[in-house]
Amino acid sequence: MRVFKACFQVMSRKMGALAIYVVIFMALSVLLTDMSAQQLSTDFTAEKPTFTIIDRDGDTPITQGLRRYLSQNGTEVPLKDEIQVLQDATFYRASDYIVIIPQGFAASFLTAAPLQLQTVTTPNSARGYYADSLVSQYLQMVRSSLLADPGADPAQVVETAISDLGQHVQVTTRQFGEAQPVSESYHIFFRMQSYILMVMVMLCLSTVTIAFGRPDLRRRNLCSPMNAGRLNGQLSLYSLIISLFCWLLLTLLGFVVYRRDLAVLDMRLLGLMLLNALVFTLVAMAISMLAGIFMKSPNTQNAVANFVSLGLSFLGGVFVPLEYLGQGMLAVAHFTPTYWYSVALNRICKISSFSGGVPVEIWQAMGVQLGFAAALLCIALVMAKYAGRSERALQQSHTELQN
Amino acid sequence: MFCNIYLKRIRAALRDPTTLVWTWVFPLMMATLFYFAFGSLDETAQLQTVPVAVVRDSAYQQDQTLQTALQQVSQGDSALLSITYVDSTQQADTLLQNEKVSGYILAGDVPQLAVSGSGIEQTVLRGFLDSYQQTKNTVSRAVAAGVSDPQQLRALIARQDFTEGISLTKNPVTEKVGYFYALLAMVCLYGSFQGLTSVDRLQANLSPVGARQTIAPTNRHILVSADLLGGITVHTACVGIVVLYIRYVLGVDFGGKMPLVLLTCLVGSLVGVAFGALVSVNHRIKDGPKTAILISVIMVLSFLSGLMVSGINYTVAQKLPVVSWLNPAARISDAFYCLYCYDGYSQYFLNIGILLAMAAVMFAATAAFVRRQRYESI
Amino acid sequence: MIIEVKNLVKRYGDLVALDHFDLSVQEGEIFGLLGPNGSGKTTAINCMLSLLHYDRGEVSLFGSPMSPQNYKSKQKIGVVMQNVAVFHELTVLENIDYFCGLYVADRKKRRELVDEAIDFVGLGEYRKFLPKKLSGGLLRRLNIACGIAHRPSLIFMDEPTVAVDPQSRNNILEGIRRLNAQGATVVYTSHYMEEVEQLCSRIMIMDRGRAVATGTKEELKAMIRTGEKLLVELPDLPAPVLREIQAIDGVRQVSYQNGQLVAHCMMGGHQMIAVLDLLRQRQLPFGRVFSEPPTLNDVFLEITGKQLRD
Repeated sequence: MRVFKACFQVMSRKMGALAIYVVIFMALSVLLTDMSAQQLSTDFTAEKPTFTIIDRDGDTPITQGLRRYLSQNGTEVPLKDEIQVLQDATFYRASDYIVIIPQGFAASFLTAAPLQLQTVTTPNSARGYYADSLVSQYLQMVRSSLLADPGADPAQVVETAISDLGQHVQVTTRQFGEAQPVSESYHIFFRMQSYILMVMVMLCLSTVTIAFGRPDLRRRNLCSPMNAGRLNGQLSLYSLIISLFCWLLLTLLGFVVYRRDLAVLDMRLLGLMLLNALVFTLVAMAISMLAGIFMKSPNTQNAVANFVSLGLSFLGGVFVPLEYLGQGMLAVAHFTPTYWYSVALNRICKISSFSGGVPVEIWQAMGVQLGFAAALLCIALVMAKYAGRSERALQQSHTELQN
Repeated sequence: MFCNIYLKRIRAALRDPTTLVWTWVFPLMMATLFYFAFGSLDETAQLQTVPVAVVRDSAYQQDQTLQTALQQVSQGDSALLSITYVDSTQQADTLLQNEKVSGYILAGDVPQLAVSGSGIEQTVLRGFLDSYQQTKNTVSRAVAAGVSDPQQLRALIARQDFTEGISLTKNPVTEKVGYFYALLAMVCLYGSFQGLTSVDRLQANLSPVGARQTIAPTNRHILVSADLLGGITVHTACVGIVVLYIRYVLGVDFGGKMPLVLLTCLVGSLVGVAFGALVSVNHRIKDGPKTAILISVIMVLSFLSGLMVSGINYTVAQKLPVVSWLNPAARISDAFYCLYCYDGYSQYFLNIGILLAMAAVMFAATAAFVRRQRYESI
Repeated sequence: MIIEVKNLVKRYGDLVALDHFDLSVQEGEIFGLLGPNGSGKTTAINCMLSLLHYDRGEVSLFGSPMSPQNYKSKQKIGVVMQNVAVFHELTVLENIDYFCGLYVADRKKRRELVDEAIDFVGLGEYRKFLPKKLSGGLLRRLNIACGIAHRPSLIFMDEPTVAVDPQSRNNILEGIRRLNAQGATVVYTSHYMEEVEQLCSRIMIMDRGRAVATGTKEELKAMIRTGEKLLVELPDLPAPVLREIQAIDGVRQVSYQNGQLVAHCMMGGHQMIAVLDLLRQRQLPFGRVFSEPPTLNDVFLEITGKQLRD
């Protein structure tokens, strides 16, 4: 177990860099989750689009009522009436629906051709459409009431309209099972975990294995009576332990940060999620070992680690959920382990009942991941064996000596 | 003298394959990946037709008004609903459980909606039924009040266009470009590797080459500035190539102001190189941790500028404006964004000004260390 | 005096790297700094070059105080570092040209100097090679060429022959003599006493940051009491005879091992004849007899009580 031990000795010298990676990426996983999570529940609550009212007509009962009505059904995002502010808000989807009330709107409201409100939404956005329908609904009702009874007090009419519009049809929520759903933050935390696991395992492992890849050291190891299989075996064992350690760290982090979500979570679901992450840890390890062959210096190490992890994550629905990927992209995504991780995770989070056992798709997706891990590991071991002996790998010994 | 140092520095940088991979090939690959991954991103969150089931029970058969209303919204190009008709509640439940539909409608005096969760589609469904019911109420109230003129009744139902959609930007609003801008910001900051190399080779306590350069009779200021300028030149060229690739090969829009886009690249690279130089001057930190610091910090800055989840930069700017202003990655991507979105240049030049100030501060701090040519230990 | 160092003190925390170190080197000398690893040779050179802060003392080169901004003095100095200090991305030619360019702005003049330096170290065939393609010895030669291409009149060489094959080493030593012949003053550090003995006109022996002795090699050897070392091969030597030899006037120390008698003698006597006479008197047959003159190692051993090379 000399090699195995040496790995840990090298690691203890590199603690500085490793600690930075671990801390940063753990923090990043929480940040990523926090930023992407939205509250979701299984009881029906109406979606509340964000809206902004830019009133250029001065406060009139009608516009006041509009604001009140929209506030009941959405969340107001107050913005200044400045073009750049409004542009920013649309661009970053801060406000789903910006409505600009033009000057003279109230005066023209009851004429045959009232001034139109200008609205800004992302084209075809569902929330924008919904907000727009609310506005039309409200104006329609207020206008027809006023037209029907020209003498009525506008404030009163608005009041009635709002309370009329507040009447909703009855919505029943059908529950199809007893299991508690996974909270969205915890779900997203796990979704991000495939990226974090990959990049963390890759950086932590390669920081140490780069030392073993140095040509002079490699030569020395090749000269020793230890056969290449055992050498790589011990390196693999080390990789496995570090990978599991990363998984454990992230699991604990999840327990601590999302303890509230955990309290109501079905233990069987949690078990499946952890198992899925564990299976992916093996994939991450195999990827790291394969990628490690191409890492010769800290520079290439970071390039490879970032490209592989970010690339697989974007493809595999880690940052952008799978539903958002185009059809062609989705087809390509099938060839990435991250995709199968996400598929398994999404399916687990949708389990509402264990009455029929664990859905077979979950086992399938985990199986595919294991297949990926095994295949990548084999390739890595074979390549490590032959790449190390090639002339090029041994050629650079001069420069190494002098550094 | 200056030219000699400058040109040699560029030549050396171009022969350093690892840094080139990092600052050049890697972003090109990422950009290509983004291009494919986000090809259909802008279609998300768009309203497609909402799948809904309608139970054709006796109540439905009798409710002519509802039938007509449903028919109206499920036909044509701008259909709101795609309706599956079923004969029993059980069938509807099955569809709902298998997520074939977002909800189902039960006719009645007041129609009912059944759903299995919340979401925009469910909300739209309820909105449709609400509006249907309200219109129906209005009409029946009018009839009860004695209105019988069909013209007048139609006026009550008729949808008036109260709103008109406008666009605030001359370039279309798209989430996609944000990812590319954040990627470019990250690439600019990768200039820190050039800064790292430069300072490493200028400082006698960091490398043997540094010692050799320190004992030469060349004026220190010339040496340092020529070397750093070489690094900046190489890196700006790298970023420039990435920009041209993104613009002309991948066809991502920059708002058509290419000279200013390239200026942003230059200023961004300046900040990147300055950052790397500043981290590098500390001889107590070894090379490994230095790289780790650079990578991690750039990763976090890029994340906060919207590299992984678009829109984060906006959230940060709203909630923690100071963090946003101090984040060079956010300033760089915002500068690109200004060029794309705004007609005016004030915000753009504000960004450039802040970036220049950052670079100046970091270069000044670096200079305070590099100016020294005597060390406590080598 | 081309180098004048007075009372130099340099501390690294608690460790005193240079302890009241004095040095003066005259023009035209090859001056050797000899001492074991860690004795302060490199630190002394770095202080003289103003690369390091020092706690006390004065350094003047070419008659003017040395400082980082003393570009006039720097212009005349060439340094060959212990570590190979070249750009790995630049070729042999480009490296030498770059470093020469830091001293000589004129392009045409520089080209001549660079060609000369390449010929000087014998790297003519390797002009277009990147450093990583060079063997260890050739890399050292490149390192030297980078340090001397601008024709300095004062050259510091810090262990230029460490880890170099004998052929390259001879080439390097020969080169240093030629540089000296062309008029350069050389300060040469090494822990190989043979090199220093061969090469240097004056030598300083250093230990723990102090100059323990300075002079020509003859002067140094004259400083100590140890004279020649006598070796006599003989099959048998009874213990009483060994004691008798020990008692001979001028013999400092004797030992008998593996059929060889070793007698360390004092300076200036004729102990060899006395020893051989005694052996003949006791009728002990002996084979070959060798006499070795004292080495710098003996000097170092006597002054510091420890071996120069462990």
